[in-house]
Amino acid sequence: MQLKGISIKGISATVPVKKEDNLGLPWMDEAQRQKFVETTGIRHRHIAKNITATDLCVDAAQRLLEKLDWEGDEIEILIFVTQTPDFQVPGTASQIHHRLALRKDCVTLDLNQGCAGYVYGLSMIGSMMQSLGLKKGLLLVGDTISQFISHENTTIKPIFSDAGTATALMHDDESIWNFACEVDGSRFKTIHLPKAENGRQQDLQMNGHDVFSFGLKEVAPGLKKLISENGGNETIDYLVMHQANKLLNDAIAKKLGIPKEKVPSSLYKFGNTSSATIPLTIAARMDTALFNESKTWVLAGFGVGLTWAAVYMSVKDLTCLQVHEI
Amino acid sequence: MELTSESFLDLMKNQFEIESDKVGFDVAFRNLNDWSSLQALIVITVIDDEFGVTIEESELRNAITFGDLFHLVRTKK
Repeated sequence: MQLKGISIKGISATVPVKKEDNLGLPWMDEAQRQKFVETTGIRHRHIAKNITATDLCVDAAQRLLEKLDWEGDEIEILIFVTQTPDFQVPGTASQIHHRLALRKDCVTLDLNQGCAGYVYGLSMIGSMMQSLGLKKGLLLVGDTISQFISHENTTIKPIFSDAGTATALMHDDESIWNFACEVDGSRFKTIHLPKAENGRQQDLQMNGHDVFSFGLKEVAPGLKKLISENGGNETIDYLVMHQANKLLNDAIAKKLGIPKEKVPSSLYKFGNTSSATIPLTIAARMDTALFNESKTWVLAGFGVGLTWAAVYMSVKDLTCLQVHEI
Repeated sequence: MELTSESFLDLMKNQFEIESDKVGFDVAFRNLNDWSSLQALIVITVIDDEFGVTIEESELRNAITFGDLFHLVRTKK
């Protein structure tokens, strides 16, 4: 799947200021804590308290628009990707549209996607910008998934964290993106949130073993095919993967034969922030000095669905802001 | 890595951080102190990496001893 004519011009990310430390988990002894952090790569998690994914994304978007010197009335399309909307009804994108003071005829919609949501969001906003002839767009991607994980849920609590991101996109005749994606809906319960029972919110459930199996057997070969069809590993400057955990991400990178220095991670400081991991990792780890020259990225999200989606793209003249806490 | 009894048990010994004389085909790995859901993921990842075999959860659930695990890997290879 190829998309021409759209490029990323800016990325920013915002996380909640409240932080938890996996080296302080009370239900593990010291050795277990050390092993957990070493194996998963996750030490700190940012937890939203009295703020939503909308708040985080709006902050990221406001800072990015200001830095790019883009006015709200220049934005012709806004897509908000989240699994943690403010309300069931209405969708959240219209609220964000209002808070950012965007123009009335701005195409505005929500997309319910998880770990692969950033890449799905890029494909959707890029396709719509191209087909509708839109010049500038905003893709906001964020989740506050920690709200669905109780203190008793000790298996997955140390993994998930919260973040919101903003990506600015613009018409660009020279840009080419090549996408690949796969879905296995038979395994939709691998990561899922059961419906509330008797008014009581249920806990997020995840079968870690199935996620690993999906990552090793489906995601790795799929990425290998995408990269090989576009010129091979040597053509890539960075592979930015969904930040699931260090064990799985290292295993996928090793299967692909891509060296660690080309695979940035933000797990230690930010954990698994669901849909936000890829832009958050770019904001947190990429060397901003490199952004003036053209760089080739593969961005790869995988998880909830189960689904994976990846894009092979070149990026040039990118504005990337440091991660902000609110 | 070539799959042999020795290479498999060596790999398991390293993953469980236990002494050589405590790793054998008759040892029930779930009874070892190290066993946890995280340890299970470490085991399937290292087996996938070293022997090219991905073990599913249902298969791992039926394995009790290192011998069961070795047999499973050998059958799937």
